[in-house]
Amino acid sequence: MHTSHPPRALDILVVDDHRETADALVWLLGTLGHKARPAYDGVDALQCVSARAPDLIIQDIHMPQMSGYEVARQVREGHAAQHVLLVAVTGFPKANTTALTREAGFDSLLLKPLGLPVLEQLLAKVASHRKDARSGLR
Amino acid sequence: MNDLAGRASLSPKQNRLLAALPEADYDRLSPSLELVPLPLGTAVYESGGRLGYVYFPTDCIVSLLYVTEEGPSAEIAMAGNEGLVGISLFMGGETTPSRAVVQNAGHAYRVSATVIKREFDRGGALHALLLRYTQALITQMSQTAVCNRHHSMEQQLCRWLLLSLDRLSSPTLEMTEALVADMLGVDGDGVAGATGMLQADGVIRYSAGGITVLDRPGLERRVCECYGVVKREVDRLLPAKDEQALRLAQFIVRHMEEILTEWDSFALTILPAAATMSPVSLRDHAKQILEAIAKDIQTHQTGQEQSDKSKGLARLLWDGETAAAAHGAGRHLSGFDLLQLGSEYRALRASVLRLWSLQAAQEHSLAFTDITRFNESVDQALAESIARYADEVSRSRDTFLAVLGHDLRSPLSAVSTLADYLLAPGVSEGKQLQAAVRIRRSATAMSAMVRDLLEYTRTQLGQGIPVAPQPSSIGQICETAQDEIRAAHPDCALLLETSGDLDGVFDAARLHQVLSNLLNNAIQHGAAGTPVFLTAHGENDTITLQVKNRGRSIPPDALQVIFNPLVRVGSTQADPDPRLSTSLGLGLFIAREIVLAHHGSIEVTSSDEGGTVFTLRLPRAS
Repeated sequence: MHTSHPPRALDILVVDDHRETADALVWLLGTLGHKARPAYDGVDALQCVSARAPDLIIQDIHMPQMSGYEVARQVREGHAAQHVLLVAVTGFPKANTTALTREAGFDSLLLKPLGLPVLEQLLAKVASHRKDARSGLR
Repeated sequence: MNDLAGRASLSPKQNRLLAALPEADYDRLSPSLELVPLPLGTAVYESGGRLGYVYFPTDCIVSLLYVTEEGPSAEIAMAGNEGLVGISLFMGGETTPSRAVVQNAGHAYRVSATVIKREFDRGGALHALLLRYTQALITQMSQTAVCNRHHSMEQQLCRWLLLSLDRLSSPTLEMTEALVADMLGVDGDGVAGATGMLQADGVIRYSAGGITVLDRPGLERRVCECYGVVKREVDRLLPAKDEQALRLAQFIVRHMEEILTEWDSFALTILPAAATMSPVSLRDHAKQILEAIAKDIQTHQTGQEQSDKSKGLARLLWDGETAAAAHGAGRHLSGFDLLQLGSEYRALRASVLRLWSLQAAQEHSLAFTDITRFNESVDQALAESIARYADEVSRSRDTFLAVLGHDLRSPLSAVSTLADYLLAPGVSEGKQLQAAVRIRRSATAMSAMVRDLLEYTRTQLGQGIPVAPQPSSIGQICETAQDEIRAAHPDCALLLETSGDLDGVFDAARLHQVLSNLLNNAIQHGAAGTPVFLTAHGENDTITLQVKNRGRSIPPDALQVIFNPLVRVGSTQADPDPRLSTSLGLGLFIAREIVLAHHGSIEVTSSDEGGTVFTLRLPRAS
């Protein structure tokens, strides 16, 4: 039977080496009704993913040590998080950024500053994607 | 050669003719050289006598004289280490009417008649040298004839003394007045008068069995032109007397230490930052650059290659970096500007050529070629250094822009998103407050970044960081910093320890900035769960502050440049230090500028056992 479900709380991982930024986004997502957690570097992020695969990863590209590209690659290579939606965020896009993000396995690229409408749009897309994926499995 | 030759002072190369021989010719002659002592008065050959040997004096003087039938004699010429005795052996005459007598005792290397004739007949370098010497000898003889005929006793005596001195290494001639009279072909009285005058004027002095010249310039002032004529001819015809004139390439290699020392001390004068680099690292590149230059000078260059090089078309070595390129990168890292880099090479050029010119006179055509090649080589090295330097500047700038874009855009993004949220309808007051707090945090971070940037720009424009010192207490400043850090990082342990008198005249706000920066760094990069230590100790005129954290140590090359701005160290390393590769790198630079503005000092040490320690020393009143 077809029922309309309330928007399900998404499990979101926010990865950014700037703590204030990561924390702000996590807080905001929490306010919007989702379960968000921050990671401040690539190693931390991958550990979080293997502990519990999120629905969505919002990943800052430019990070020290492990870059966002590297994190994406490793997430795609792992089996647990194959279906995670990977969104790259950057404040300094270059000519080859789009190509590089696609190669690394990201599903889309967003530019900073991240406005609220863009964020809500993204969350809606993830929610419907999740629903489709689940219906597909039946 | 016999054992006496072991002593350096009796090397055959003491003799100018032997020293001037090309290596191959010398090596061929050398086994036939026999060292013999020549005591005073020895007759090397007699009038009409057959010569068995040719003699190359090292430190004796032989007079060629003619004894008249009546008895009086006169010196025709003298031969010392500038030449040889026995030209008739190779000129073909075999015998000669004159006799050769040792006028000043010493040694000579003799070569048998057979060998010298054989070598002479080869027609090579020795042949040419011997002929030129003979010409110089003729000039000496001719001038002697004229001088004896036309010039005063005193002048003749001066000429004779000067010519003798040129052929000895000491200012004392083993002569008696009677012997001098014999040489000059006059009776004793004539000489006595002249020597008496010279003695009275303090130019010479008699001692036991010898005449010592006290005032050589005095002799040169009194002598006639004959001395100059003879000397100039000898110098013109025969190669330099001193150690064999080195080609520039050999000179550079042989005097490497001397050149590097001069270059080092110059580098230290042009930039204080250079003083933080250990002498070994400055020298590393310098030595390699010089060696490369010396090698380049020596390699044969075709006419085409020479022309190409002068037009800058020579191959710039990018494969496997040259020492010069690495030097350019290193200088950029140390904060040199292009003018300073250029000055370094100018100093190198000047040092090398100055030291080289102090050597004995060069053969002009060879020296000219050497200098041209040297200059080309140095220009090449400079071009490589500059190209690489410019590269590093671009790279730094790109990094700066990238990091700036990232560092500012991140908190800006948070502010933007949160502001949007605040504008949305139906947000509770509680949520509004929380959002506002987060906006404030991001804004503060951005504000600090912009402030750092502006201050950095100000230092680059030569204005330095302004400080307004007031009577204040370091203790108070430390406590304020501690409170702030604890509020921002509640789960981090920060231990403060103070002692001594901490009062003085400081810009409290600025020092607070420094401590904030150091403490934040320490917390961010210290090992998780370990405390950060802040200590302040006042003693006499100085207050010493230390910020210490445990954890992964900073590598030595990073330590050397850690206070330099916009430096991206470790990007080629497998494990780059995060402190340097993400931030703008301005915090520590500005911290140092503030400390310097207080006339203090700041340094850092880092090891795995001791942790990382920043030490500040501030004068109580600046």
